[in-house]
Amino acid sequence: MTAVWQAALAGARRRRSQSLVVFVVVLLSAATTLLAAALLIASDAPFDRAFTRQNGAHLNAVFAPSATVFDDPAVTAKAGPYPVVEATLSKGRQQRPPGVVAGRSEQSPAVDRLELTAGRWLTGPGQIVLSPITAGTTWKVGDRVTVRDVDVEVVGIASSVTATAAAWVWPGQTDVLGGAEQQLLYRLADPSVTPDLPGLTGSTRYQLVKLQVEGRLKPMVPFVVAFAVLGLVMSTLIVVNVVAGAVVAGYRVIGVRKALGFTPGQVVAAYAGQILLIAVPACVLGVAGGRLLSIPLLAGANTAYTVIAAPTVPWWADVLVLAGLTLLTGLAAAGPALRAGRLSATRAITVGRAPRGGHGFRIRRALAALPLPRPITFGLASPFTRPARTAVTMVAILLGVTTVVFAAGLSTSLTELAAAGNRVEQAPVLVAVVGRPPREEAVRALIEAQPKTAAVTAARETEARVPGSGLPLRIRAYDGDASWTGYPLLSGRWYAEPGEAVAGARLLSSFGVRVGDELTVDTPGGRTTVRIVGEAFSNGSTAVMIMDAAGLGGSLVWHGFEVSVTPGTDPHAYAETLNTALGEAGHAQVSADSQENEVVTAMLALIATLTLLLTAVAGLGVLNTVVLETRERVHEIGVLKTLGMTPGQVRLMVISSMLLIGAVGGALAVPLGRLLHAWSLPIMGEAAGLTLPPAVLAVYRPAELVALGAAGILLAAIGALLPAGWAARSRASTALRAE
Amino acid sequence: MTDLIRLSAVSKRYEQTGPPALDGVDLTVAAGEAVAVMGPSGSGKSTLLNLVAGLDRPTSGDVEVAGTALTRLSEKALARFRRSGIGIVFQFFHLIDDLTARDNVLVPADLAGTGRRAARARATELLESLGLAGRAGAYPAQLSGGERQRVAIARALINRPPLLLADEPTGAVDAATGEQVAELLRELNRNGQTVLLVTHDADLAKRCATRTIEVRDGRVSGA
Ligand SMILES: Nc1ncnc2c1ncn2[C@@H]1O[C@H](COP(=O)(O)OP(=O)(O)OP(=O)(O)O)[C@@H](O)[C@H]1O
Ligand SMILES: [Mg+2]
Repeated sequence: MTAVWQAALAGARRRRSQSLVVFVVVLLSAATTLLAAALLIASDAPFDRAFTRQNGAHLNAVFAPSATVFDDPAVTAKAGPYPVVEATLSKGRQQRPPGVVAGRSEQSPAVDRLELTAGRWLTGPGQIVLSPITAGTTWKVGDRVTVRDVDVEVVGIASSVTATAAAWVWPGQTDVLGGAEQQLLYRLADPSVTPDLPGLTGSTRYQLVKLQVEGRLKPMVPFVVAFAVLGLVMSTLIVVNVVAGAVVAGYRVIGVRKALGFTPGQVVAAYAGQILLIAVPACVLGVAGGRLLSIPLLAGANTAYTVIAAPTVPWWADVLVLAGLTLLTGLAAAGPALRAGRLSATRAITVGRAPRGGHGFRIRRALAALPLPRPITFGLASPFTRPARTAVTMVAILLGVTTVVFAAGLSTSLTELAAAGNRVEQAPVLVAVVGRPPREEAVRALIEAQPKTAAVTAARETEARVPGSGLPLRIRAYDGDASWTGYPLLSGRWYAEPGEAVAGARLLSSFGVRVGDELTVDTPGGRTTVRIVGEAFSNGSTAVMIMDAAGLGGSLVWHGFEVSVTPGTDPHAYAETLNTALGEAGHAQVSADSQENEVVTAMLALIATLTLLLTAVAGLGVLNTVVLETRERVHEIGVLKTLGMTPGQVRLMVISSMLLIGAVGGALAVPLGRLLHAWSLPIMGEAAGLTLPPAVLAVYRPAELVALGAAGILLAAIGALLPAGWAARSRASTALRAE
Repeated sequence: MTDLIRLSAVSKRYEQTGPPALDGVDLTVAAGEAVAVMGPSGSGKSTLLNLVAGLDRPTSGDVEVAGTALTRLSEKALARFRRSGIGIVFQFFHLIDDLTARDNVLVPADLAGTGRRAARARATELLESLGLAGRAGAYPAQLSGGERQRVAIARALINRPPLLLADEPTGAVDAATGEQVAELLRELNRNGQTVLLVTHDADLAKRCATRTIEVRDGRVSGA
């Protein structure tokens, strides 16, 4: 076995550039694979997992200040009572929408164990811990914020899966907590049964929070999963391609080995060994690097999912990636090595050295007849004379460009999806009404008094049920015709009168109705029949119906005002002016800055990172294959130089040989990437319960496609440029000695 | 008779330390001569040949071939010079694997921009005269050693260079083929071809060369 081992070692050492290629590609792929696996794990039921980890509260109950708090056999665990107030937090001129501030000294009680994502937990008064949503991207640990005119320091950021508070202060911070109600967090024996609670002033069941979180989450998950799968598949294919290419390039040496008496088994062992010698350390380093990279990436995913989906990559993901990639590279090397092992020694040498068919010959003839400079026809012909090597290079380019085309399309689709769902253009400002009781009409008057207000409507919601069906649906109601709020219509028309409604895709599919059908629903205000006149895109995953508030009576729950501004108005400036006018009565926020949009921003950043990584892996795959291919030809180039080829001609030849492969690869990859996009998007849409608007599907513009296709040529040319330079500069006498 | 090759005080060092590969070589070869360069392995014969071919540059001294001072030429001009100024035959043939015998022969003509028709006629004529007419369409891997070397010679001659360089042309072929190659070189020289031949083989030198020089430790001792 020592001969085999020696052969493996010698091979790895002698073909140093090739070993480097395999090393880098395996390393990057291992990192990408680990990241992809981490994202897949994070995307698997993030709410439920976080709920289990944190022992989340089934019921978040708020009692009047002096009430005796409820205790019952149905309660299996509880936390609190904690004093809670509703308050607005601000840092300088930045103000957050009103939220719950809780006085709490325990980070991990029996229920609602908070997970810190930054800083530390409270140790006394003068400090505050923010929820990730309150902190957003701009408020950091160490900042000073104001709450109820009290100045406190942000010491940490902590997440509660059911969002029991927007921020936490020390219970002794009485200046903040003056007049507080009492919060109790319960675990229930049967969470579906809500106990009857005397003295209760408000409560939130975890089912509602789950519905809200997952409503935001679900449309995103299939996209992230698609990227993760793409990352897994592409890096796998690229590794196989590079490794198989390295073995194919070594055919001649295999022949020589066989002539020296290696058995087929020993040939395979030597080659698989040679590749593994490089691949295993590359895998280990790649997994370590992937782990490092996963820290910001997972943080992004956690922000995107609004709950902490996965605090870290589990250890078994490392093992899985390591074992999987090692096995894969071993197999990728063993396949072609086995083929070579079975060939007779002389056949292996011949396969390695000479083209088999007469195609190359004829094509070279045909090309030579073209009125092109000789080095160009030489270059153009060379792909045909070595079909196996050309195939390897072509596949690398194909994979690379397809990945880039698909990833670019996917990220544009997601941007469009977000824009379509959030209507930031049409209804750029949202106004919350604060205080008890809310002074709705006063706030509306103040908004209408603003000179730059174009339109304003109240948005109200209610839960409803279709008789005979257990599925809940959500009705969103506006004042009169609010078509300006900008829901993209997929079919039909906007509602024109009370009794007509526009429905989301999830509603249509859940209840088996179509545009034009009538639907009877039970609302808390009574039974009513509505006609569905159109389908609108909505990016939530709950069944939703949009209609006129008139006729729904008093059962509607206040949601806020949606405001459109006159053309040319800066929404931020508008919101600021409005906030001054509103004072304590309400709070205006630019919808692009809202929490829901931060989710989208985080998601886009995530996908941008993945696209970048994938592009890097793909680009490297191409670059390395091209470099390798040119290196393989150093001897031939040396010969041509002795025959009088100038350095400039060498460059021209090498680059034109790659241009053809790049052009064909690019030209094939563009439709392939498009096809992949066109095929997978509706599947993702379906998984998310969405009908995707055309803007989300038709994301490729011809000019972009041409540019992306040209990327293949560019990649190949750049890849060729480097070794073309070496080849042109190298001394022919040295190149010939290398043989 | 004009001098085709003129080397004056040529030295070549590959490494900073140690003895140079060539050390102050002076050599002239007149047109029509066939000069054999002999000497033990590692004495600098191939180095000398590479300098004359413009494949490498001397560390010091001047190399002049057919009236052109090679030391002053750019890489590009050197390549142009090689196309038509010289033909080279190597011990290990150095044919291009991807090209057929005929296309290998045609490469220097292609690079020199010779008309396609004329070049093909010349290639056919050369292959025929070397007894390779039937093997024109074969790839190097399908040729025997002797056939490969004859293809290499045809390739070296296609542009009718004034100078033919040969580095151990019989080193990798059997005795009978070596005979053929020797005969071929002698024939070429008889027809006026200037030849610079590097060889170990005293017999080959005696048969082909009009003059023999000896290289030892990088120094030339004429004969
Ligand atoms: N590119 C190079 N780099 C470093 N050293 C070299 C190089 N080429 C030749 N040498 C060294 O220069 C010396 C002369 O080499 P050269 O190839 O000219 O010898 P040679 O006479 O042709 O030998 P042989 O008969 O074995 O072919 C040797 O010591 C050799 O190792
Ligand atoms: Mg030599």
